[in-house]
Order: sequence, then structure tokens, then C-alpha cells
Amino acid sequence: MADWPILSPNSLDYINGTYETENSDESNNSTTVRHRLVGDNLVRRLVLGGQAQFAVEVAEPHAAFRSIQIASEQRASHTTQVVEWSKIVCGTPVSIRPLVVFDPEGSLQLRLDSKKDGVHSVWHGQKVEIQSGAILAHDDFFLPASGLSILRLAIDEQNQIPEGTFKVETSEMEGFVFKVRMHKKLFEDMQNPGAAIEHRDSILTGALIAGLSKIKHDYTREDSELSDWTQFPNLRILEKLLREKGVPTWEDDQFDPAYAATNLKAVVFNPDQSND
Amino acid sequence: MTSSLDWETVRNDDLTIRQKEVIKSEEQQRLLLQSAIEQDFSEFISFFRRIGIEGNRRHKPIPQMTESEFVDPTWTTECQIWENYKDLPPVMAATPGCWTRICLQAVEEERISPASFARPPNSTKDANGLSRITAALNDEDQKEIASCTTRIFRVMGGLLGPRGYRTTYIDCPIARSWWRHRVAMNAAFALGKTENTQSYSQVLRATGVWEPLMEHIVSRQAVIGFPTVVSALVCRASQIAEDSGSVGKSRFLRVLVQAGGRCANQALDLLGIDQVIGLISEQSL
Repeated sequence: MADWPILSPNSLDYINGTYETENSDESNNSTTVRHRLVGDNLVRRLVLGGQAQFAVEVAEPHAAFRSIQIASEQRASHTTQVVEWSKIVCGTPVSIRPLVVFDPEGSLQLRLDSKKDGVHSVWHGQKVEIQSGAILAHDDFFLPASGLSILRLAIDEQNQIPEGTFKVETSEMEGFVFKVRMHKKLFEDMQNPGAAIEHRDSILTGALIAGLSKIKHDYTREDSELSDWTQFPNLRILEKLLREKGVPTWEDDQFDPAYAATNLKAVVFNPDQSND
Repeated sequence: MTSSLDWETVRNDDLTIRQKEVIKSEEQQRLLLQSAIEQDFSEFISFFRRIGIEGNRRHKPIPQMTESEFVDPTWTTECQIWENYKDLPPVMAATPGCWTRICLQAVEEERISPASFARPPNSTKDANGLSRITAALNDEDQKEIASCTTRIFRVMGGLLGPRGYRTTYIDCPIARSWWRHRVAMNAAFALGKTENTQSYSQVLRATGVWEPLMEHIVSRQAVIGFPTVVSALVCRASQIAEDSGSVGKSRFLRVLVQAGGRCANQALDLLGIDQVIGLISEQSL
């Protein structure tokens, strides 16, 4: 536990206010993060007063890379930050975590007041020292790609796969992804599905089922030379996501790859549209 | 026009798939080991070439070294390795495929025999890679055959599946030297003491320091990979070595865990290096 209260989705330190973030406009070396502090509390007051700043942590542990980037626009209850990274140094970041950090060159001693600071009553009356660079608020790590970023579509460059087919392989690079190797035409259709977007999504769900089956088969057997899925950040995030949804994971006997995949990406079936 | 990502590399995904296939098949393990002890290395080379090589920039040859030096490069060799491959982007230097290509090239250029990759660490001159593989095959010792096979994969560049991302940094001696030099150099630079690179590298050479450090940076859900924090940890390890003569693994692990705990609540990377060293030292007394 920190020596000061932290505003985050998993913490009960604050009873007033939330820290909300969104990301969008992704490319392979940048993304945009929107930070927003809602409600009146200590964190918001420090940001508005210029003593704390919005920032992000960019991490690609595989390439031993981790950095903190401070947003250029501050002193407001919300800001938009363009986050960029070098493809040479860290490739594709595995994860990004929005933060609010205290002034790296200062520290602050104060006695917390539940009403004024918006903190839980357990903090009320406590004297705390917020140290330089203290993390005052954070969101969870997210993957800088929308939706099921664990799926990577790729063309079968060696032309070994017949038209209309695909194979799913596990790739332990980039934090772990399922590489969906497709026939060239299928790959192109997936990129430009036109009105068949639900059909495309169903194919992705199918690929996800195949990928999850491979995790169960290759990464959870006891005494296996090939196990230890916990090494891979994307699998840790995926496992957490399933647990939050109350869905058995590959660590459970009741694991069902189809049920897990359709919980992550539900199949949309619309017979009326199909008959058009 | 060349880009810094154009260096030749064995295709990482396909390498992992192939490694798994071999690990699962006793027959394939025997074939690979047999090819490693043949007079002619062509079958061994073909095994890796068939996996596929990407990129169009050929690497410089590895420095000339003995089999024992290959397993544990000296400071001089470490400097040569850094000099040869300092232009490698870290994102490539973190992958098994990149170093497997460099090692394969060394075999192709007859700078090293494939059997050398199977040499166990800390072995005597008599117990070299060739004698180890030959004995394993002659005795049909399946456990030893499997051990030689995984050792070859690890030493050449890394074996992702069972070892996770730490494999390249820890298991491949050439990659380990490259990364150790880089970490030592960054720490010396951050502290304004570039003359300390060699002594920092010496401290990092201890497995009780290097392995837990890299495991905490690349393999676990830890938060200590920030450059300032890593440099501060190197400096702290160096202080402990100066005070106590060596850095015990359990003591350094305590330093890492405590630094990780602080990183979880404080953006140490935004602070000055001296301040971070102070915070880490204060905690790990």
C-alpha cells in the first residue's frame, strides 16, 4: 500500500471522483490517450494547481523498455495526449498505462480531510507525505490496439494455404499474439469486408477459439517444456479479462475455448440481413 | 536504402514453432545433434536456414574466440561483441531469431562448430560440446539428448516457450554480453562516470545479479525496467560489491523487490539518478 491515497479502478482510497481514460487514433507507433478527472478531490485539485500532471507509462518489457511520457497540456481536469514510441527501441509497446503523477521536483505534507479531499474515511485525519513523482492516480494497462488485438492477421506468403482457409499459430513475440495466416484473397477480404463485417467478425471469433485451444494444449500442461503462459503480458491480460467476466480460463478444468472466445467476442447472427 | 531493422534474423515465430517440434520429437533431437557433430556442418546449417531468414543486411562475423570463451566472453571479447553489433536496434537484440542468425553465420563462416553450443556451463576442457553430444548419442541417453538440444537452442539465441522473454538476455552468451555491456554503459553514462563501465559490467557478470535483474525487467509483471531505475540498481549492486566483496543473490533480490515496490507507487524515472539511488539505498540497508 502506498503512503498516500491512490485513485484507481482497483482502489477504495477515494470515495469521491473517478479517473477515466480512453484511447483512440492508433497507428503502429502512436496512440492518443484522453485523461479525465471527474468529481472534486485531492488529485483533481493538485492537477488544476499545477502540482500534478497527466502522463502515461509505455512498456515493452520483452525489449527491456519502459518509459513515462508527460502530457503537454496540463492544469485542466481533462487533457488529450498523443503517445509515440520508437519502432527501433521498443517495436510495438505491449501496454500503456495512464497516470497522474505528482511534481517530480517537490513533495507535499498534508493532513487528509475526507470531505475536502474526497478520500475514504480510513484516510481522514491522517498526515501523509506525497513524495516527488508519486503516482496519485492510474488506470489499468491497456493494449495499444483496439478490440481483439491479440489476433494478428497475416498473408500466407508461401502460398501453402488453399483459397478460403486460414491457420492459427501462436506467436510469442509482441507480448504473445495469435497469428492468423490466411490465403491472400481471404486476407484482402478481411481488410475490406464491405457489408460482410459481421461475417468477418465471426471468422475472427473462430480464429480466437483456435488460438485459445492452443493455449490450453501447449501452455498449461504440467511438467511441459513448453508451458508458462504467465511470461506473456497479453495472456495475463486475456486471463484477467476472462476472470472478470466469470468465464473459466485455460487454467480451469471447465475451460471451453468456444465459450471463452464468444464471451470475448460474441457472434452476431442476423438472418434477416443475410437474406437481403 | 537500408533501415536499422533490416539486419538478418531467423524468423522468430517460425523458429519457436520449429524448436517446439524438435523438443517434442526424440527422433528430431537425435538428427539435430548428429548434424551438429558431423565434419560437414551443412545439415546443421540447413536445419536453421529452412526455418527462414528475413532481412538483407549481413552481420559482422563474431570475434574469434575459443569454445569456453564463447560460453563466457571476457571483458575484451564483450567490448568486441558490443563494437560489432552496437547498431542492432534493441527491439531486434531482444529476440532469439537475431542472435540465432549471428550464431548460424558463425557456423557458416567456420568460426565455431555447432557442437560448441552444447557445451555445459562451467565445464572442464575435456567436457566440451562435442564430447557431450557424442556421449549422449552413443549412450542413447534421452534425457541428456534433450538437454543438449535445448542447450543448443538457448545458447544460439534463446528458447522462448519454456524460458519466456528472459531467455535471450540470460541463455545466449553473445546476447547476454551485448545487453550487459549496454546496461553497464547506460549506468556509467547516467552517473557521469563512463570510466566505470568495466566495473559495472563486472558486477553484472555475477549470475546472482544479472539473472534476477533481467527476470524482473523482462519476464515478470514488475515495474523496474525504467532506465533511471536500472542504472540506479547497477550502481547499488556495485556499492554492495565494494562494501561486502560480492553481491549475494538473496540480498540483491531484496533490493529488486523493494525497488519494485517503490516503482509501483512512484514514477522514479522522472527523478534524478542520484535521488533514485538514494531511495533504493535507503530501502535496502
